[in-house]
Amino acid sequence: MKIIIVLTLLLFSIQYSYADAYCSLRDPVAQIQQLYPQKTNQLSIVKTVDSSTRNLVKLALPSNDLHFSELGRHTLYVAMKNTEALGYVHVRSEQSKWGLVEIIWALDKDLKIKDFTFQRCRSPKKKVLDDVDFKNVFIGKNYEELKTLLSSDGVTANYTLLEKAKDAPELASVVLRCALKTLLITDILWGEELKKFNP
Amino acid sequence: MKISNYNQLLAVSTLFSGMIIFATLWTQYQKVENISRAHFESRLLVQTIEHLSTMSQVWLTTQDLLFSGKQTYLANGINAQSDQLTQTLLAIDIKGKNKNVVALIEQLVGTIKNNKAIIASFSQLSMLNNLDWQTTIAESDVLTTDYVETLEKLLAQTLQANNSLYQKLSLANSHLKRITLITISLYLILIFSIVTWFSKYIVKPIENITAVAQQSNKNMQSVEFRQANAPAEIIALSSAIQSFTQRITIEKQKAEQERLNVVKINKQIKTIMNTIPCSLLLLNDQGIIQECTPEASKLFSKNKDEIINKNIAVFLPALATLDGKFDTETALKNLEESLLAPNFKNPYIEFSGRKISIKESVSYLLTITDINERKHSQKALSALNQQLVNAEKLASIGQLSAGIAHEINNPVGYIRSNLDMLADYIKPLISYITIVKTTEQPASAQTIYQEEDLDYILNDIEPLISSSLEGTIRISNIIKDLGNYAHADNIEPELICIDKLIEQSLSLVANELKYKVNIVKCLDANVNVMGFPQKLLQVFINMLVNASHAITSNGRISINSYIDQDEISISFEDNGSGISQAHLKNIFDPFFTTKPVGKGTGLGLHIVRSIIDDHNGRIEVSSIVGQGSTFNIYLPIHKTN
Repeated sequence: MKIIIVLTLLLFSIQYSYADAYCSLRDPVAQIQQLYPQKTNQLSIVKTVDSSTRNLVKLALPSNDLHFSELGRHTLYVAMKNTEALGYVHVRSEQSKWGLVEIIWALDKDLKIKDFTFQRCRSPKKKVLDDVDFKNVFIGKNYEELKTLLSSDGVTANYTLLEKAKDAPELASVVLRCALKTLLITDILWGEELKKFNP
Repeated sequence: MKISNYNQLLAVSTLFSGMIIFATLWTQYQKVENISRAHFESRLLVQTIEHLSTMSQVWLTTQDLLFSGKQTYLANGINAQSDQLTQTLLAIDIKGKNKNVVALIEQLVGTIKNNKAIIASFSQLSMLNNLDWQTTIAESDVLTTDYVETLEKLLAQTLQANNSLYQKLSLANSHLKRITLITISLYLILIFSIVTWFSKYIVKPIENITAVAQQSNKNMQSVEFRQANAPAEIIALSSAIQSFTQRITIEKQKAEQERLNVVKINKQIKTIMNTIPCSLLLLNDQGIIQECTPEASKLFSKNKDEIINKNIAVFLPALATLDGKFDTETALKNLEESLLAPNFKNPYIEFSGRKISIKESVSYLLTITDINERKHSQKALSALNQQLVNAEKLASIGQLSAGIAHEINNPVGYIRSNLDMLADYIKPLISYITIVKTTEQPASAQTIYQEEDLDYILNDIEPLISSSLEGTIRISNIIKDLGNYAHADNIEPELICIDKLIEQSLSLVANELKYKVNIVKCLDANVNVMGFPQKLLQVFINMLVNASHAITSNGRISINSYIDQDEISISFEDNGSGISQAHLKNIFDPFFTTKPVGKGTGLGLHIVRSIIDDHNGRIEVSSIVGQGSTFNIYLPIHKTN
């Protein structure tokens, strides 16, 4: 047990330097195509998540700090149909019970959830969250609307969301936290630049 | 059924129910214990799996660090974690575990092993070859995803099993409590039922019997002790009490009836005692008079109060022993004649006593009869009887007088003749004596002596004198015998010789017998007896005279006397005409005679028997007509010092 604790502390102390390359689409073209079948091309906007961003997130979502491993460069993909932006794709990883869960978020130009899919998730309960009923809770909602699904502890989802994911409450909260951070960070880091796609 | 059987049944049922309760509780407890043990093991397994899950979370997070940061030095730590996980999984005791669980554990171990190989391969990858990293990560993700799924399945199954066991345990505990409650309740109900049953079927009947017994019901016949619904002993006991009560009732009724009878009898006895014409005395065993009749008061010339509680010896000295105590033996005798105390004018009484038991104590009932009148009558009768005997004796003397006279005449005749002869002899003798005295010439004396034949005279004188003397003696004896016969007896008996008396009687009746009877006698009673000689002589004469009268001529009379033990037997046997059987039964009756008028008084044999009776003897007769009669007389020998 001591060994595990030591190793865990060691791991958390050394993950900062290689975090930038991790939260990205494995196969951006195919994965964006899957989310935006009408897209003809795509743009990549790389921004750096730094301490100030982390502080803003901490201010907006207490108890949902960004891990240091999340600091660094992050890519936001803009799905284009020719010159028209169809929406945005943002990949975020969120710590879960069984390690990192990587979710590909599809956002509309109003920064509302259009769709999402798991890029990486070890939990077999992700099947539950792939269900339409669960997704519909997220789809069409912006940051503020989703924040209402957060319970008073600021970490777990409330009954409205958990009711849709009775067999995977922990993973549902992970997805909610991931969605909120995605929308918040997208707005913080890429908000100004994205205005040009939604005049 | 008996109470003992009930007790046995109770003991067996209690034991049996106790065993059932114990067995049930023990079985249920064992069941709970087994489930509890299984639940404990299951909880340990859950804890192990949860611990494994935590370790796995760290293990997977470490892998994610490796994947995201490409920090391959983490691979060693991941390998160590993998080994740790493997050891933890292999340490799980799979004995008795579900096959699925075992399969899942084996699957986890295999996944860890495979993943370990993948992790090891990361050190071989190029940092710049992102595609290889992604491919390898994807391979690891496949395995770890499968691992997580398997682990969650394992956790879910163990939790489910644990929950199931927990529910079972809760159910079993609840069941145990319920069964305990039920069994204890049933046992208490059983005990209560038994107590109630005992109260109803054993205690209640006893209480009923006690309540009935304590009732102050005088009518015992209506009391009912018997119990129908009760054990056999109580039924038997109640029946026995009922029977006993009924018997007591019957006995009480009998006792009451007997009491009434006693009262009635006492009344009757009192009436009888007050009216009975004889003197009755009730004495205790000390001779103290307890009760007496008025006749007794009259006899003793005293009031009843003066008699009661007095000793009987005061009135009847014969009932006192020499030392003054009550003579119980004499009191039980029948004394025909006794005397009261000397101060009574009429002392002659007759009494008889009986011993009786009154209230378990011995008492004596004495009947006293005043016999003074009878005594006077007896004296008068005795005097008359004596006169009659004398008369009969005189009559017999009269009858014998001719013969006696003849017997006297014979010696008188030859005495006279002898005297005549002696008178004739005296003259020559005187002449001779004178010549002898006056002359001194012997010749003349010789002449007279020869002429008168004095030799003959002198020789004849002595026989004549002797014969005369013998005649006088004979006459004297006859007269003496007659005198003895005629003479009245002394008042007191005297010693007499029977054989001599027989001889005297033969002397007196000799003239009656000598011409027709041959006397054969065998007298061998050489002993003296106490008696009255004249009376017995009268008896023997009467016997001989009667025998002589029965013989016509040439008869025989056999007289025998001998001693037979304590008495003298005297028999007179003749071969005369005999006595008919019709007359035999009457011959001792007074004035019965078959002789011609004037020859017999009819009192002879009656007086004979009376005399024999006075001598405490007896007389028997046997006779055959034509052959003769035999009279046997038995007289007791009175021993004298």
